Amino acid sequence: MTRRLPGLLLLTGAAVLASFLASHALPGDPVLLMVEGRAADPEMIRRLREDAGLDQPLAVQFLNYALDLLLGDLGQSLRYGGVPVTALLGDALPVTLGLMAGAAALALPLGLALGLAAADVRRAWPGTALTIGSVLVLSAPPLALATWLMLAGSGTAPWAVAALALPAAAMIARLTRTQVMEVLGRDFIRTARAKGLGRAALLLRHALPNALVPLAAAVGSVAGTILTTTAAVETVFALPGIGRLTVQAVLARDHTVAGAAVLVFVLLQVAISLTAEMLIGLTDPRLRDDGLRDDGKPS
Amino acid sequence: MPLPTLLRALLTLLAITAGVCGAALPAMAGTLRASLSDDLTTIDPFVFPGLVSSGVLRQVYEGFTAIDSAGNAVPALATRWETPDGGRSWRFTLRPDARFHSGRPFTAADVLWTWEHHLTRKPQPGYSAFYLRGVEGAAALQQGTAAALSGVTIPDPHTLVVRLTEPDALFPLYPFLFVDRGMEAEFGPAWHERASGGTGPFRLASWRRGESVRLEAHAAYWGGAPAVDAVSLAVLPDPNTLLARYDAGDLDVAPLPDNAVRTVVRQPRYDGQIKAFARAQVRYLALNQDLYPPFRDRRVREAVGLALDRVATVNGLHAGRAALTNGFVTPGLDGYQPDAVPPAPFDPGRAKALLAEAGHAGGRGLPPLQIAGGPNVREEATYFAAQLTAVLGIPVGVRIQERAAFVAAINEGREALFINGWTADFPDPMDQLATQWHSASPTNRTHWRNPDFDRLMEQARGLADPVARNALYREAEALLREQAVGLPLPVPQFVALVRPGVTGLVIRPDGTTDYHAARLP
Repeated sequence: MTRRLPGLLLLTGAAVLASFLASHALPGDPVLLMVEGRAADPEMIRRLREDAGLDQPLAVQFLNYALDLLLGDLGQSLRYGGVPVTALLGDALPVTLGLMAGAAALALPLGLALGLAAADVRRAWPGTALTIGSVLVLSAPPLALATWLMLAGSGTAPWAVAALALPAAAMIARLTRTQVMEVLGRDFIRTARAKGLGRAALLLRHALPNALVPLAAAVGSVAGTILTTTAAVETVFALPGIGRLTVQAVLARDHTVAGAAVLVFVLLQVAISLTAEMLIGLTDPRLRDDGLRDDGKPS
Repeated sequence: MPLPTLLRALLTLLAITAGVCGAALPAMAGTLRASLSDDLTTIDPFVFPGLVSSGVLRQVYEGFTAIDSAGNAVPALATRWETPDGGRSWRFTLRPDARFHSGRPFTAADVLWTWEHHLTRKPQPGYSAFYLRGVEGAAALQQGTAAALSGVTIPDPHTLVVRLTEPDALFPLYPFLFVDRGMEAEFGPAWHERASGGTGPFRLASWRRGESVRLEAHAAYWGGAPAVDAVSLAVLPDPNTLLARYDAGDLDVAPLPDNAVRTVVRQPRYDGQIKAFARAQVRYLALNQDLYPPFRDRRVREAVGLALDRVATVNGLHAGRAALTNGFVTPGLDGYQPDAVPPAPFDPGRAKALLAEAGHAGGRGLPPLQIAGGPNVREEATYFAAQLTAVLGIPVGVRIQERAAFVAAINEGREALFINGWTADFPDPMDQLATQWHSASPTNRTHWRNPDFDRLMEQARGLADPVARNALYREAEALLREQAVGLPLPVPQFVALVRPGVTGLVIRPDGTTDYHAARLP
């Protein structure tokens, strides 16, 4: 993990630079958007731009921004009239984290239950239903799915959690089904069955624990899916999280906030990846990066 | 005291599971529940507010005058304003019984403190600094060469005399927000985050960024305590979400975005719940003669006007909730004169004839055009483009850009034909005429220049008598019409869904909602 730190820092820096430059590359002037053409003469606009540092060449602006970032200063929001970006992130981050936690808490049991039900080889329809349902959920654009659920649930927040959780649950269910069916075909399951073990016990005591190992490996991509869907869900449900803050910042050409919000997304994604790796290490000792290799054979 | 992020995330999660997060504001007795189309950008009355912020700030802070529901200037914190010298100096008699939310009395010293703070605050000039440019000594104070605003004298606590460098008949109408001068001493420079510093009918109780604003009634308001105890405003930018929340019974009032009006008013389930109010907005199809040389011929400009069926858009696009004018000053504004000239009817035959007269029969020699606009005019632009294509004989396309890109394009003079609009900030036609057409105005986006028009505007600024001023405005309007500088478009009304039993709610022509007289069932 420590060996990858320089690479992660480089990636984070590149992402922030890209978002800062992308925000500047868009046509539109944050100061003109801020005053909305009201009560503003060219002299006042000039002073406002000067105060925001927008009169400097782009390279100078970016260097100042990058230096401040390294010193831990995320700057001030143009759109919110000089409010520190950290205050905006401090307001928005808990909303997004709360949403993600709620979505994960809903998606995991739901996905596991659906996956187990669909792994039933005696009946074909649960598997078919899961395949069709998951394809629908995963192929629908997040914005469309969120809008549909918002209208179905009168825009109440629990439905926002559902909009985040459904795609994740679909991913978990498909993985669970594949893994459980694979485990059910192994020799030790046949032995257990021959000993007269019931179907429920087989599934819950033998098949599921064995299937959880590859599932842990997929935690990163499931959490990543939840994270990238937050912007659409927060926008549609009018929830003031990081996703909506980012969208609003880009629309208002609020360069500092747009850059910082992307930074937060990158850091969250990195945290998710590292957590996923740790989980894999915990569930499958063979994959631990400790220089020792266990071939998994009984001694 | 900010909560640790983890704890707040947990609280959010709990709130979500309880289903009371986001826009679902818990209803309390006496609380009117309404919405905002966007988040506030500030609650600091010295910072440039966006339109949404200014709508909220005007519930909390007041100026000398206000706009009533008919668009007239009415007394607010000044009961009288007089000028002995044609607008060069103004004597304001201030309301003796006005009290700030802190309980302190409002006096002339608060006006002076507010103004001086606008001119000296760091890191940028305050919002009203623009309106103070003409006050004697403002420049010196702003540049740091003077310690006080020399153009203001205070004969007694409720009288204020202002001297200007040039006559300005409109000075009493400017949308000032006067602030309690004791706030900074009591709470420090970020006082506005901790307390409410105005005299308005509501005190600002809380602002949860991106989520909601809560206003609480100011019982000692000089105009009488509001009928409701509080107003909660949920930030709901998406029209689908707004309607879903209204349908779920979470809102008493839902102001509709323009592009949602047509579908909503035609739904029988909303019968009796739709309220419409005049909007002091001027809208026009702008023609940039610098960029598109054929527009320099008045006959071509006139032909474009005759090719548009504006009546159809009133009934179709706006579902009848729009005013059709042929002027450059709109109804819902003090000084508006019902138009003497009826709008030119849709007349493609005459449009084609004029085009032929100008040497462009069937569109010959006319470069292709595009109607540009923001996302809110997509349908209108598409409809007009089809009509112009049929009449002009050249393909007219549509270029819809998101707002920031569109504003940048018209500011830089990169659009030849575009839909533009302007909602008045203060109740005088000057705000719609000079801002859009004076050659020195930064918001003159057609870049049309006419010394006669400029002169009329400058003369009007020095006429304190509204009747004399309006005569000049009519002359200026006639000039704009005669020159066909732009084509007036129907002005949509402000439309809101209001729950049955909720009464007294008014949206003023400047877009500010008046919650003062609103009553719950």
